Amino acid sequence: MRPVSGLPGSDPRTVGVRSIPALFRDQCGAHPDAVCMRAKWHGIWRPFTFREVWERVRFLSGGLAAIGLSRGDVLAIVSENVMEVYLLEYAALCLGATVTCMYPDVTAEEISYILGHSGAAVLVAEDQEQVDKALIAVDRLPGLRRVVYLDDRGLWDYKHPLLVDYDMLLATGEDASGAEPGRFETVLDTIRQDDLAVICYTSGTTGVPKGVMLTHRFLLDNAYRLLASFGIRSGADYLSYISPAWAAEQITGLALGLLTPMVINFPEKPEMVQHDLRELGPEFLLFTPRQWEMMASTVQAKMLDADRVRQRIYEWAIGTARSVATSNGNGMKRKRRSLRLAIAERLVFRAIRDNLGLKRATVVLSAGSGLSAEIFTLFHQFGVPLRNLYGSTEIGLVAAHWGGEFNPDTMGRLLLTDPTICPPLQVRVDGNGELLISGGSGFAGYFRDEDATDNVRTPEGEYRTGDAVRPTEDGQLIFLDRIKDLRTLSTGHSFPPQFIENHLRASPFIKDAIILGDERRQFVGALINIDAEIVGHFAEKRGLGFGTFTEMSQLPEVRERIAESIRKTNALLDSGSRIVRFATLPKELDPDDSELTRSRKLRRETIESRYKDIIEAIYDGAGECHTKVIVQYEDGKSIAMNAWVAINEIEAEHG
Amino acid sequence: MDDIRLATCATPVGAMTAGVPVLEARDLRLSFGKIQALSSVSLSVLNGEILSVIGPNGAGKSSLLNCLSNFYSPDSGRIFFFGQDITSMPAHRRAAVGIARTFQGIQTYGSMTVRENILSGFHVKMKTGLLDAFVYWPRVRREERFFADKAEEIIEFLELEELRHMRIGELGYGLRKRVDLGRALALDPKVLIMDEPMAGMNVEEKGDLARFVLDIKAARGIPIVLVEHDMEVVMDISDRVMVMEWGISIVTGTPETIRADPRVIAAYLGEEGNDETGLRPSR
Repeated sequence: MRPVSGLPGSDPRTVGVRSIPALFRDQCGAHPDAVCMRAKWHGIWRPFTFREVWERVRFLSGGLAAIGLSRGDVLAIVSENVMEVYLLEYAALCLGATVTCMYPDVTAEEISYILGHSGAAVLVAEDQEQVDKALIAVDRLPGLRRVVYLDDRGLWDYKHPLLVDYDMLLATGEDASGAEPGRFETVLDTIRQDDLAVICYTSGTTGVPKGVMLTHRFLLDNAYRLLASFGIRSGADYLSYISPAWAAEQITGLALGLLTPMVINFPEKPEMVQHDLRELGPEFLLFTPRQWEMMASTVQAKMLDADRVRQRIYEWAIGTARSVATSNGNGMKRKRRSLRLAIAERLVFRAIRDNLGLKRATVVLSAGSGLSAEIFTLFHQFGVPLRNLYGSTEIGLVAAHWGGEFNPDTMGRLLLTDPTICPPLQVRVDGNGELLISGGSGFAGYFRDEDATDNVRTPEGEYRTGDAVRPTEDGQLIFLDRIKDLRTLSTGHSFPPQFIENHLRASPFIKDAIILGDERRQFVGALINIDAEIVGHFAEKRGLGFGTFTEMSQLPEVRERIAESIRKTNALLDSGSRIVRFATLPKELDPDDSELTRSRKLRRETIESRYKDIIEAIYDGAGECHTKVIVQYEDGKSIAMNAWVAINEIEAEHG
Repeated sequence: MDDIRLATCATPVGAMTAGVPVLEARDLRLSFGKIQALSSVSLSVLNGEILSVIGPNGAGKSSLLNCLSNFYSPDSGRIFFFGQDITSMPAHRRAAVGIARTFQGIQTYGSMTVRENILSGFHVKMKTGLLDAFVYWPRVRREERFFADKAEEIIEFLELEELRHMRIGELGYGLRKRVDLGRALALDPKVLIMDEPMAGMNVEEKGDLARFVLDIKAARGIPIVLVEHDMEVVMDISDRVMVMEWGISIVTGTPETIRADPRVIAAYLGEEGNDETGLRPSR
């Protein structure tokens, strides 16, 4: 198959030879009084200019140096998205150090693994909870020199010798910068674009996490891909919401924020994001599919709660938007439709966009695993220009719908790259249907793991995506499934499990779907994790009695509602790929039980071994199943509960 | 960020009066007609401690608290605040000098928001009056800003940010009690008296409130007198416990000594002794 090549971008905001710290210094020199960051504190948004931020970064850099962080060392961070974290990350980069961030809900064990594997010299822990987790492991980590904490609440009487207060660090750095004013610049000038900036531990749906190495060049190149392809405006507002543990936030928050430059806004606390989003109305947003699905569910749940009149207006507006999207009538008809759409926009969609904080949003992206077509369509009906972004931690952002075009069946075209630092992206598909990528800033490898690196790199130096992708004639990429995830039944029939799962998840009643079926099985089955909030609401409205989640999940009315959603998805599939039998899970899937990763991806092996009784029942024709469900608490204790689970059959549709 | 932490703005109580109890009651007696509610009860609250008062219903716990905040006048006995005799000081003056109290049940304004309720706690501290407020002098504005900042510190401390503009009436009991506590903190108290704060709360709400009580002690160094029925909470968070029965204090000591004290076991558990109270040491 012929390779497809991307194009170099023409946006003048190129990187050149600069590292991230050098770029920061230049931006600060160019517009010192422009707002660089904004943090909400005590209910008020407080702006910080480039000059102010840069000064703090310099001080913190001095502080970090004083507690022993130097070139080549690793600074680990476990925190929510707060401004201090970004200042500390820039400060560490200015020393030539490397940063690795963790999700705030990591377990003590995971922190210990990442600190050990990265050989971190300093850990930044947001608060008492994170400090407690870190201190468990500290004795086994001789390389760890200090633990910096940001919020002293509850830590007042901690006497651990490694602990350092953030304010102390800042003050120490301020004193040090007075003593040796030129040192900061000297170190900064030695940093090269190919130096390691960030180690990003991938969530590890299979086995232990791997640390992907991201260089300064990688982060800036990827930032430029978004900047040039979407034409992001200087001074645009960005809300820092996705975790910096994810490469996407490193690219968008840390690197793109500087390169554009955008104003990076920090919410007051995670619970306030929806509210702060509305206050801010950012122009550029990048969320995970789960976050978009949650937003869509919020709207749907609110509409279920609304009175009958509002529900009717909402349904009419959605119906209007749908008919306009699929219309191809004559002139008169089209005119009437666009008038109706204008009314729907005024009455409904503008208010929804405003409530979701998407009123000013022009570049709206979903990245990570695929978002279902239904959710896409819903946001487009709301008038939100939601676009899919395809990429991976290893190779960065690859393709998206840009330049005003959008086709929900594809992942879009290759992104533009920075001509001053790397060649354009190039992709080809090998004999197995796997997408291989070259060009751009490339893949620097896994940290301290040559074997894993070689596994995903071809002898020609291309990166193996592991994705089954088909490029179209005009250079668009169509995603089929993960190569390893295409599955074959005992009948020899292949089917796309992820596609089915995505479509099922679009139902507000379904939070997750696990599709069953392989070469030992004759047909496709499904385990359904119901959405507790929406199903609970549904059950309450109908006056159905239940005491626990388990009971709720097995209510006949609930199962029938799920069956309805499955029938809809089945209608999209060829007969061999349709779901024949399914069960609703008696317990919510939970990262604490290792059933989901921290970014809420399914851990199939765990789920399949944990619910094997139910799976067997689905395939041996039983009508019900008695099983034990294991629930694990955060302190490590676990209990087993007895549960009765119904096995449901979807009647075969003819014709 | 220039974070003004609560710890730094708390008055360093007891700095000059080390060793002197913050609040002390000596030999209080109180009777209603023929009923002797308190017969010779003494108590002293030291700086930075949580002192819990426990006992069966009718033991005189609430009477004791009411004497401390002068809702009742004791028939005899004296009350000292930092060594100063305040036995005859009226209740509102006691609040102004720093003896704050939360009550059983809900004492918040249901139609006002969380923020407004906490702001209302500052009224005894405000210098400007009603007339000033109508004219809205610059100093009124300054004062308003100052107290709005203080209220926000309390909101942050009690983790109420996402609820600051919610009406209290729409909140659950546990959250309303937390706002109630916020109002008491607005007084910048030197000692905090809490009357059964956990009554009617579920386990999670109790856990939250217990954590805030401990944080108030740790961050602001405010000693706390706690009357509470939930023995598990009392034994968990108290530095000292005073046990009352029939209007007298039978023993005062650390939770461990209280658990082991035969008089307490007898008073609380009866001869048979079931362990529902949590008084027995857990094995």
